[in-house]
Amino acid sequence: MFRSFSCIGSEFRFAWLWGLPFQLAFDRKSATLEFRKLLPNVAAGSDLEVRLKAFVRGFHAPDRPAHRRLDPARLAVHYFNRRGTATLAFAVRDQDPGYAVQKALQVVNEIFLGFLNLHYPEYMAANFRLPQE
Amino acid sequence: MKKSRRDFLNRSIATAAGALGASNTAAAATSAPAIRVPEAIPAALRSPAKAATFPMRGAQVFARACKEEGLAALFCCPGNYDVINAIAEEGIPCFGGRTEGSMCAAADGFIRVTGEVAACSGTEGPGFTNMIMNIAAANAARTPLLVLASNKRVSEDDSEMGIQTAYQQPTTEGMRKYGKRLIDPNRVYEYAAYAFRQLKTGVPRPVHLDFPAEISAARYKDAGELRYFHEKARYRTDARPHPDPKRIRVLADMIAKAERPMIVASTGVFYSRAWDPLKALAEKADIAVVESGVSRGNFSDGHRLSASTAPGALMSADVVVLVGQYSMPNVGEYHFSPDAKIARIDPDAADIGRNMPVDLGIVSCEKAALEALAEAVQPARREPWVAELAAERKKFEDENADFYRTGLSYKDAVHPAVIAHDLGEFLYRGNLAKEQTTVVSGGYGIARYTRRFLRAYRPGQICNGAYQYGAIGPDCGYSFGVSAAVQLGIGPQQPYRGSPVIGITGDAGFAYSGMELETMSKYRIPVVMIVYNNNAWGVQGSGRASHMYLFQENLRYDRIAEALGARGEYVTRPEDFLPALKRSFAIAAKEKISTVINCQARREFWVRAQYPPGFLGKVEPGCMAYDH
Repeated sequence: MFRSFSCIGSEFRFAWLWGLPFQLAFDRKSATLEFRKLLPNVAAGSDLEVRLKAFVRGFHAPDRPAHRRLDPARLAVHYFNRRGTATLAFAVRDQDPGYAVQKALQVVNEIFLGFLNLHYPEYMAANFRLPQE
Repeated sequence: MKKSRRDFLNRSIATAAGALGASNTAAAATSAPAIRVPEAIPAALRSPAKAATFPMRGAQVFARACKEEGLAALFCCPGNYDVINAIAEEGIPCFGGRTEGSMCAAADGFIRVTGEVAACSGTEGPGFTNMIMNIAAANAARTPLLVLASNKRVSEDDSEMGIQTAYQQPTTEGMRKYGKRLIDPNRVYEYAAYAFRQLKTGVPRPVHLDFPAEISAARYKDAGELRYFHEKARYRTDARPHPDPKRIRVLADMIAKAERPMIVASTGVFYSRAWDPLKALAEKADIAVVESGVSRGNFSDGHRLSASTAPGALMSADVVVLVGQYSMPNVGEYHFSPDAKIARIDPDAADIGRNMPVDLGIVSCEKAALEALAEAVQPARREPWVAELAAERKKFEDENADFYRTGLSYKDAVHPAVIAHDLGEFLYRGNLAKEQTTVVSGGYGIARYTRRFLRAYRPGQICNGAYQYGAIGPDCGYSFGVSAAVQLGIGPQQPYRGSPVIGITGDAGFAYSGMELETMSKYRIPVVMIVYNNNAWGVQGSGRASHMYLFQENLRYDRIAEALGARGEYVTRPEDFLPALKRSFAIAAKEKISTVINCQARREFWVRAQYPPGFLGKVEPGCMAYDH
């Protein structure tokens, strides 16, 4: 699924959804995977941010199918907004990096496809130059 | 396949003649002459077909080949006279419309709901170039469309003698499967064979032939003057590629190990008429099916295994089998998990692996592969998966119901959610059999709503608008061709023969093909055309540029329809849409008269902050699919 894959230190860079560039860093000390600069132009407190946070929280919801759920005992997801750029960090709480990577990719995949593309097509067009047609 | 178009048209024109006069009260009030169908039209349609025999002209030889190949219909404007006249004489259903571009779209729409090859035709130069947008759309849709055009004499090449000089073949390069300017009169039959061999094998696309006058007017005393003259069993084969049994076993094993397998049933399923083995396979092993592609209904939306209206379930699929997915999405365009294993079944080995990496490729005719796979898979029950599909379908319906309630609260114009909801209620939960009505799901922003509410319960029930090429405007053309197919009862439309068709378009799109309301009226091909009128193009401009995105407000597309011999309804309040739809459909069914329902909306409906839920995004594949 990934193209143009490269690894510099503990940071992985690759083209993924719609060929867009992604950066995934792993901090061994804190056992955290971080999708850096994931979403530009997300105003703090905006409707987009409020709904995005709720969408991310929903991955822990007990009524979510087990195969789509994040086990909080194994992986915690944190949202940061740094000067209008959203970053997602995934704290690995067990010793299973495979689970963490798989779930982190699932979450980002769903944010782009199931949330932004569905509910904020104009944001995707403005920030990622996806066609609105 | 029945094609007694003359009977149908004679009946419907006779029935409708009085009704149309009655409906044109405005015209009567001003003493203007009533719009009427001239007797010359039914008279021409009543005249018997006459198969040509030697001695024949080139156009007749070609028309004979078309007849023998079962060309299902021709949509054209005058021009390319020898060829279209010869095709009409052979008894192939022919329709003459108002622009070549719209007639090209009509042929495309006809094919997309029947699976049969049809043709469009125009004169050299301008008639041909008028078709270009819709040839490109048909190419993106992988439509087996036969594009015909006349051309200047070869002996006049480069001379600009007279008018309309054009080299056609370079123009369609990149938007066709095969093209040829016919040069040698003795090879006209041979190139007809080339055309049908391409149209009826492999992954379809348009085929473009242009006829210099030396070809169409050539004369042959007997078959001996043609260098290549065989019957079709000798110049092409109906054989289909069958799958490698080892790969079928691998795929059956992948499915057996999966918890949530899903098939994406796309364009190739329709053209290979593989809906029965698809159903058998899905039911045998509880495999979910989601649709994509140019037409919908290969797998009923009402089936417990359907995921077409369960977009939330797509991410759960752990094995995805793409079947006949000719317009191939890139990673990110389909809503699947990055963990899902991907298999592709496609007749073209060279396409497997394009855009989306695959874990398994199977080169095969879709029908043959689905039959083999249905044999090979182990029976399985996957109740948790079936329950998840049902839950996600309900979630989707609940979300749609919320959109409708919100849309209904806007009283000063007709919100697209109201149109979409009421249309769904009328088609599937009213007095009509839910399988009956074929719909052309076009438009731009309106389509983001209507596709959520439209359902397909049988093959060819929904024609998916301009589809991958994204052309704004062919919808009235598509609707005419689709309704022609339904009136003739071709292919999967046969049980619904004579039913009216629903077409959906926007006010921007109406400008491109709205004149075909006249063609619908002339032939009494009934369409209820819903025009979403938001006074603007689909996208918004801003600042000093904004005027370029806007139209005059409150334009009366309904009155254009009336002026063209159809009916018009102007709907400005949400509660008036459903009654207008019912009236229009009843008249279309009984009197074969088409209607434009001009739904007055607001361009601000796309602004979420002002009018939630605003312009909607989409999930593909499934009922919202458009790009692929």
